[in-house]
Amino acid sequence: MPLLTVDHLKKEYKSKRSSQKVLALKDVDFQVEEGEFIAIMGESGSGKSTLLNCIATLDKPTAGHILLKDADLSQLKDKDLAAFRRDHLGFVFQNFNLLDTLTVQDNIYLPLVLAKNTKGKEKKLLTLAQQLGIADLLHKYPYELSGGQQQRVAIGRALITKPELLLCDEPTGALDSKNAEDILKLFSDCHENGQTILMVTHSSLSASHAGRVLFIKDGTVFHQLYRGDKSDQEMLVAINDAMTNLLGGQA
Amino acid sequence: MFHFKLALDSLRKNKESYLPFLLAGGVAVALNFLVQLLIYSSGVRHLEIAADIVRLLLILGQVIIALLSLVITIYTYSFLKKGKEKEFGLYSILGMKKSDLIKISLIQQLLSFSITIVTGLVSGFVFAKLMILLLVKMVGGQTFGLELSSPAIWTTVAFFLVVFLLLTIIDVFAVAKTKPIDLMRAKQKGASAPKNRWLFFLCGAIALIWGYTLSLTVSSPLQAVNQFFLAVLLVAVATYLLFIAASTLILKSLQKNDRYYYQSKHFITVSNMLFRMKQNAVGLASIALLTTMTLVVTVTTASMFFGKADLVSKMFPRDVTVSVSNNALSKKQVEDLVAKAGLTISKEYSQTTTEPIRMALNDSQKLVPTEFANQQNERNVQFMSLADYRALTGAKVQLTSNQVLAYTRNGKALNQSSVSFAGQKYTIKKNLTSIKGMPAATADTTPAYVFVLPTEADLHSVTKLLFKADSNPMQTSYYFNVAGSDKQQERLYEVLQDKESDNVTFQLRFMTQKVMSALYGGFFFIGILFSIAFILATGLMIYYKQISEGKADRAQFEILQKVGMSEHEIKKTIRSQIIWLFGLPIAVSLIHLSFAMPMINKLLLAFSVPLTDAVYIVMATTILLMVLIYFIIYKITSHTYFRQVTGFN
Repeated sequence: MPLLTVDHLKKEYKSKRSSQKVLALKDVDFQVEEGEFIAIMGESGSGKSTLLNCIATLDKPTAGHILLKDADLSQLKDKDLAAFRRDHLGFVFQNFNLLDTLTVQDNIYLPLVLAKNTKGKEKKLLTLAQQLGIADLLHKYPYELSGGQQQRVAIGRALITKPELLLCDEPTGALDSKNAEDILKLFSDCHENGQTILMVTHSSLSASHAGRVLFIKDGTVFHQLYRGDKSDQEMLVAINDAMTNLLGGQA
Repeated sequence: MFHFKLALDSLRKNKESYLPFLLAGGVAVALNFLVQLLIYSSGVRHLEIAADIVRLLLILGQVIIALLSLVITIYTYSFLKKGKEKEFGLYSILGMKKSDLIKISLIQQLLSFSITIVTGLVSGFVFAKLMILLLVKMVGGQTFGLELSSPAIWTTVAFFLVVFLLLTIIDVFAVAKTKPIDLMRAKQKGASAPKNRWLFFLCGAIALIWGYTLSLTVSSPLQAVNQFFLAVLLVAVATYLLFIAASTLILKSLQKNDRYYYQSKHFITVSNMLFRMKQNAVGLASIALLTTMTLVVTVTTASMFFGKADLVSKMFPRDVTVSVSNNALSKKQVEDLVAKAGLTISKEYSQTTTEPIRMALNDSQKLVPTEFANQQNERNVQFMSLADYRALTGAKVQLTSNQVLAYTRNGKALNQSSVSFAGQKYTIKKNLTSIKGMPAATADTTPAYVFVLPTEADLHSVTKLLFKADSNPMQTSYYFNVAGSDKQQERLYEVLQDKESDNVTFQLRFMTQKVMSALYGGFFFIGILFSIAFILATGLMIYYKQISEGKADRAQFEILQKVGMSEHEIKKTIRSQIIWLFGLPIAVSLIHLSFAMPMINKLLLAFSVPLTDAVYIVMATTILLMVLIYFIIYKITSHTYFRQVTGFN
């Protein structure tokens, strides 16, 4: 049974000023198995962020279903959404979204505190902090850290609840290439530890770390690419080829 | 012209942050102007005997309000400044010189100054006039004279000129000191975590203890008048310092308490409050001071008003008192006079005592006749015979020789067992708490004794020694109620005034009440005017504070929502934050008030006003009313704030 099933997903937006509807997702259909590392690629406006928001329960689909294991996300009541998010999903954003009023340690504890699950939090933090290389930053505040460090903290916050699915929205978008590479390496490590990751990106370099790449264009899954036994470098070439051929050379 | 256009343009673009600033400025101007108007008003000048204390309180109020206005204006301006600096950074990058920027800033200050001054002056005056109309209707009595006076206008304008000049200087410093790129970034710079400020805490604690001690140890009314200002200043300074330092200390210690801190309902609130405390502290302290001011003013004026009403009822056991010495008027003649005014007499009785004599109570419990007693030991003394006492009260007391009954008004009863006067020592058989039929209070505040002597002979020998030999010191007072119209009572006043002489004095409850309510009604009016203005200003300030901070908090709550905080939890967090903001100042002001009570009590005594039960009722009502008004503002505020930070409804 797949971990995540996206079943003929459709999303329309009504713009505020006119009655005209904007179709963001036409018909998206794919599945994610447990332990997979999937990258979703597409240009700006391709609908990839809308897709992520729907999976993240931040937005509701117009038609179709999203199933996490056997739970239908569209059946969840509004008041249960927040609890669902923090119990099953982890988030990593492009601009980190850390709270400036909390120390690094407290930022990472945040989902545990919200879930009222603070027992043994110190141990969880210690393991994660070492894994992420932020053990000596725990008592600093986010504004004292570099971008790469902030993103590590954000990953820590996403992983501390051991989520079934880690959702990443352009996680390296705000980082320089060195830091971006480090962060991607971290994702690969997590993936090797069995973490299921779904990453949205328009960078082929980021996508080249994934096990499978879905290409989205005009609101549908246009093409997908499996890693097989390709190295990161070969994967990058394959992705770039696919982009050139399939997406009309826009990349 | 080019600069002017840019300045105006920037005002228009930053409308959202400028409007609340102008609003706050306008309210500050209106408040200051209101006080200035009162200080120079004919209404206050015509308060006669109370005019001095009203002036004192008003000037004190002016100092506090001026201080608050300064703080509020700078505080609200700081929100504006960040956006403005960013704009200046942009201009600077586009090639403007610093002198150009300063010119623009000057024009902007001038514009906002004119706007706040005009709106403030107009709304302050209109508000005052409206309140007068309303209150005259409510309290009754003549109108309260309040006119547009030029010194009031000039003082207000001059003060705010200084305030805005200060804002300009702040701007100039910001522009002159920093590089364009820093100005650009001004808005993004996150506030750093506050540090513990032990020095502030220490100074604040010392000032607070000092101020409280002054109030608790004040011994005489005169001292209260002299030290009141110092005490107020100390407590005001302490409030600011402690809000800044103690809030951080407390929140940090809460953060250290794992079991408290790591709960979803405390986690965000505590860490949020800690960060905003630097700004919050100043705002909260101002709110606390405004609230305290409201309470103190209400209590003082209510005491004046009700204290006097209480005094009138104690002074007059019956509607009319006529005191006659040397048989200048007989009972029949008094009754004829009343009939002449067209009134009917009922419940009449009379009482015979000596005239009051001024004496000094010295350290060996000896009463000596004196012309020059100091404030501390001066006493008014009257004597009466046991027979007259029995006739008046119907009590069946026996006194042996050298025994007296003592009755004290306007002060603590004699606590010794004996007292000496007219060369004789008397044992006090009983300290009476009242003498039936005798007024329980006199018009002045000097402690007064009545001694009941065993026999007529005793009375005779005492009066012979203490009073002038050629006159009969005995006076008979007639007490009676009258029934008739106000006009007839006024006639009675005129009729009795014709008969008034050294031997005939009289008092009418009707007339005394009229004079007093005119006097203290005006006073009460000022108090209510003040309180309403204060409560409104405070409410506005809290509202402003929340709204301006809401903008900054928005990003944070967006993150929290994404990370998995539910709408319900966000609501709860916001609620607890706002409850803190509303509750803390009120709690602090109540503590301040309780410590201020001894001093207020003494201060009122300096103006011969006792603290009565009615005052506590007024106080409770004021507090309730204030809480109610704040609750409404709280509801509006939290609603707006919630919408602002979450985008839900």
